[in-house]
Amino acid sequence: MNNNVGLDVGTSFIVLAKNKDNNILYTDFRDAFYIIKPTTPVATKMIEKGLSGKVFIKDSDNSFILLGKDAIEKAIERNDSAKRPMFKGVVSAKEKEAKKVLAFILKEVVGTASSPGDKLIFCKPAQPVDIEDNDFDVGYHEDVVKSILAEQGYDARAINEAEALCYAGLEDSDYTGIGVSCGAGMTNVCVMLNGEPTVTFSTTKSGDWIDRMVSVAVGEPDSVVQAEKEQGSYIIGNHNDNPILDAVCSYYERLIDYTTKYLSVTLKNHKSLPKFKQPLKVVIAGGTSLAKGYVETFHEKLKSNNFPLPIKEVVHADDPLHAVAKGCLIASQIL
Amino acid sequence: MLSTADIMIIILVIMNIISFGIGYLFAKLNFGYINIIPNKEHQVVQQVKHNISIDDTKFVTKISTDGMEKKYNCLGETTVIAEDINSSVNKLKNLKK
Repeated sequence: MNNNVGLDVGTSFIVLAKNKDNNILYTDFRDAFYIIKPTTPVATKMIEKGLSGKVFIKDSDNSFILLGKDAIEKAIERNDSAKRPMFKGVVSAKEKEAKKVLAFILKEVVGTASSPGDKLIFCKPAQPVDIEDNDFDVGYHEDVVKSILAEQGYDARAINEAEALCYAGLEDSDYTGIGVSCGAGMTNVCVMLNGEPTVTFSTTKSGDWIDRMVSVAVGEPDSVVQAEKEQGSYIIGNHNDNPILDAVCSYYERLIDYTTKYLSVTLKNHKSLPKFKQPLKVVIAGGTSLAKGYVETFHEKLKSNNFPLPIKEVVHADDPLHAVAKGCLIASQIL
Repeated sequence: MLSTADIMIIILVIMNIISFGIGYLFAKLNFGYINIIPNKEHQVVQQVKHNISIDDTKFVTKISTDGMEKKYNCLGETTVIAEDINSSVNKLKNLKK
């Protein structure tokens, strides 16, 4: 095996996949930051001492940028929300601070290429079908990530996020089926026929939308909702005594209903949709899909929303958080 | 009362108008438009408009991370999963041939 690598550049997680002695080495990084700007030199020293042991960077203007889990914890401690370098799956041209932090994180996670020109495949979202936003620019996002990775010596190329998931999860069905990647910012869909992506699209509502809606409903910051959602015990479709988790369950159901409706409507009469001979396997991955009952509810909603293709099974990827990065790694050996 | 000569002139004028009208309609059906005096300069401008476009995608400038001092030893969590992707790669390679 060569030194090619796969990279999942997600709104909530950045995951690097590398070959290591015929195994896969994953590096996961929580895609979040929190800035503390001290007002006096004394405060600078005090804050720096207080941050000892945490993952942070000190910027040229003496501000402290906490990264990853530590950023979320600090934001919760201050009853605030941590920031994300990306919004709804892409880098925003307007957010200069976020771009700088993303560049720093990416450079640190991928490191320098073993030899110049090592291939790196990273994922990008598809154009969304539910918004028309000028600020949503996949091309710009791709260029920004490519330029950062090129500085590290990589020959970087992008593939669709759900296409990568199909490479990781559809081997047993001859790479024919549907991949649904449920990230934090977006839900990406790819319909694949014998290893060729035929239809790709995305919707802009996913885990972050649940956090935001629950946050408004219960009056808690997004970070608190996110932490509760990720650590709490709940099953989609069941009532929960914890008001935050009860709202999470409710919004999960609405999100799945919304996503499956868009899947049905978009694929119905789609010009590029092949005529499949066999019922299809649907593989689901991504952090948002980790909630208990997600896959089952997704299957039920597909049926009730008149999904236009016959379905053989709806399954969770073997490793839902790493599946996209693994798909990118597979693609780096072929493309 | 109109004289025979006047009637003949009126009939001639009406016939001319009808003939012009039929000719105009015929031309419109065949060519879609009538351009009595062709404006070559105008046609060139139209053609150029369709052939040349400007790249208005956003320009990516270098994102400098100079001056950012890292204060940690390790970023992110690493895990090794026992997975061999060779069979996936070979199968996909064959399909994509």
